[in-house]
Amino acid sequence: MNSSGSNLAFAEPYPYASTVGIGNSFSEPIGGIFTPDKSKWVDSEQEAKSLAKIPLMIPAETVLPGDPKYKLNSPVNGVIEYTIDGVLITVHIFDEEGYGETYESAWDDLLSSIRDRYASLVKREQGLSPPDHIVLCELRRYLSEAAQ
Amino acid sequence: MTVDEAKDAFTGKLGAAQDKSGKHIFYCFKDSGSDYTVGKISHSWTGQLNDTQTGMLAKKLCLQKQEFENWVGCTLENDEMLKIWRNRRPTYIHLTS
Repeated sequence: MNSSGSNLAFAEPYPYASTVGIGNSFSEPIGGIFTPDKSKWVDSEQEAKSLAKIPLMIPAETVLPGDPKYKLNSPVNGVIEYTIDGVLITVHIFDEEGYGETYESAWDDLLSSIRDRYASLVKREQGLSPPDHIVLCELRRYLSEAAQ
Repeated sequence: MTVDEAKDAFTGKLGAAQDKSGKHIFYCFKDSGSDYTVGKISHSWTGQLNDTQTGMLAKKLCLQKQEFENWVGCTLENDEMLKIWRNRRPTYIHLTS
């Protein structure tokens, strides 16, 4: 067990890339020491433990795939969370997450999640609850149609 | 817990509507006339849910992971789950000038 009381052995500080302006190009931690060993994982509460949390800025002009395509008008803050199962990227302002076994798959899931949530909320706009209405307002503020 | 068991809980126990948008299924629950997004499952999820996926589903319902598992596993009654959700769900106060 290390000094922080964790059973995980990390080099500290975490050798990750700068989180400003990263997007599709960010795929792996710099240094490549992030190798969770599931066989050594001790989790008495069976909760999904976060191995590392890193702030993320999703850059403006990031395109959400689909038809029609949308793009971000301005940067959005998020959090990358590495768990024993994979990678979780959360954008609180949109109340959405992307999950995958790798950073790339989590990133792809996040972008399609944001687009799908927007489509879902627009369809259900009449009668939305206050929290969902606020998410829809934020999505409308941050998204615009991208050129095809 | 499997993906299908979680889906059945949303539609069967809770009576949530499914909205299939793109690559995801959103679960929408009407409470006092308002439509809440209470769950999201990716079409790519199959078989057993891992801890992270279960945690994601629990979070959308404002539950702890164990509470969500108990609800899906029928050891937490639906009415009890709804009490917890109504108590914890986000509330917003709109200030007007």
